[in-house]
Amino acid sequence: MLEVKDLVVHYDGAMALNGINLNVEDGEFIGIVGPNGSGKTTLLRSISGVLTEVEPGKKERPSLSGTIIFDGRRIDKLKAWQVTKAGIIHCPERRRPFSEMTTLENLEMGAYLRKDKDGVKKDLERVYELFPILKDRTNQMSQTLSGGEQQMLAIGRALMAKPKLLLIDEPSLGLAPILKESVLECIRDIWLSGVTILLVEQDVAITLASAQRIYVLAHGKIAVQGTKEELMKNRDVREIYLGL
Amino acid sequence: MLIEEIIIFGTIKSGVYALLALGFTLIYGISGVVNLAHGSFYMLGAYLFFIIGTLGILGSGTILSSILALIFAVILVGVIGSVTYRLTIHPVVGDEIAVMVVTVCLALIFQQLVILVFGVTFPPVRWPEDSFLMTSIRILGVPVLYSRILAFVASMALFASLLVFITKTKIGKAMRAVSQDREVAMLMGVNTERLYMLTMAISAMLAAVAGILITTSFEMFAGSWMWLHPLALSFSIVILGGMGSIKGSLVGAFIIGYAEQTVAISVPEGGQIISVVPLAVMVLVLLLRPKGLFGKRIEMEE
Repeated sequence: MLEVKDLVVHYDGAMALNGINLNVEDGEFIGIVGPNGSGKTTLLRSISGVLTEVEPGKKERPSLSGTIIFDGRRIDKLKAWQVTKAGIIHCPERRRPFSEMTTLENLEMGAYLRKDKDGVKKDLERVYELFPILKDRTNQMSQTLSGGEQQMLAIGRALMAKPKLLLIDEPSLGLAPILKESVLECIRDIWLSGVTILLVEQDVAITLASAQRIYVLAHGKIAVQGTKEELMKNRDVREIYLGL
Repeated sequence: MLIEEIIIFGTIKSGVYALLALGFTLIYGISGVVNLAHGSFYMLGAYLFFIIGTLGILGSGTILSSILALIFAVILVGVIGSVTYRLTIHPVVGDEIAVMVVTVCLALIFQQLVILVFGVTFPPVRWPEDSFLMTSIRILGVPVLYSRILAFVASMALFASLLVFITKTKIGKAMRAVSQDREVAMLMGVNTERLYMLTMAISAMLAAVAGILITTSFEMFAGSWMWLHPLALSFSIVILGGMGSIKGSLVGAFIIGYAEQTVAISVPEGGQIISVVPLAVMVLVLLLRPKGLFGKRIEMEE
């Protein structure tokens, strides 16, 4: 479904990604873990196309080389909105709801490119079913929501776009352990409903518990990859990269 | 008599000023462009209204033909605004200094174009002389032309419909989304380039409407200098109200409109110095409360 080949990204003159190769099959749940600054967010931003969407007048521009193929089509030269249209939805780090819009308006923005009104309505019901708390917050400004609620809103907003592939960046960031669990539980539900998931996380334990395959990123490179069992078997990997 | 005149004419002018400033604040709030050519669209509106009326393509001498000319002129300015934005401003968006240089140049180019075409003649921009719009009604004892009442009512109606557009429609929501978080809006599928072009069209059209309403209802002549005062007005209203704030542009417009009218009527030869008023207010605001009355976007951007 998604294939990243030899992806190299330079940012402000420094190399952020140094030859990434990664593939995601239809229906998989893939996890990417790695320490701060290893390039996890840059990788997601490259895929969704937002990395190169710098305003035309800005002087510092990240450069990207390599290829990204989605559903047999090259997407690394596309604009962010075209990637979204193709079916890849990126749920950004730090949730970033539209703070001066209500919960409902945020969810509506998720369905911005969709023309099927009935489908949108159905998906709205589904999001409210998945996150009942959002229904109570329908007309509340999203900036008044708690951190956990905002994360649910961000995931709900992404779901409203009817993604084929959902990129989720650090959903557990800043959440209490119990909330982390329930957010991950929701992501698993979304995956079970047929959405392919590419999850980026710093929390190794919850990623190992959910993902089918895991890539470990270090210094802009894929250090190791494999299933949970394969990674846990190797003592060095466990100690150096996973800290377990 | 004096106070009534200040209130009535101040209210009318303020209403149109609000529309003018709304256009200025809209494009700033959404794309971050401080458009110093905003006054040029005001000027182009008045000139195109005059040209279309004189050519008589849409009929002439009736209120209907004038209104058609107004609509046509405003749409033309919208197209001009959108195209010049895409060709000249968009390539430097994100670099504030470059945007200012480009837009100042645009303003000067439009000014020179007008001089090229019209030389030293200054066309009167008017409604048909014999229409009822040029008759007056007494309000609080002050005779007020219907054209001025029209200017106020039309401005407020447009202002309100724009508010509805921004809060209720899909494109309006996308505009707000982009102004709050451009990147995430793109992740939701918003084509920002197209949205900026549309916003610039709307912004220019608002300026054009204001230009036509002010010149026709206050029986002014068009001239190549006439972009400067509306630019000073938009700038000071928006700085007073808070950059990017729609509510601020309304409140700011009324404060500056009344201030201008007070000076025009109560100071001897006041009409000659009203252009100083918005600039003076702007300097005061920058000294006392730089973010303006309702400005918070600037704070959020740190």
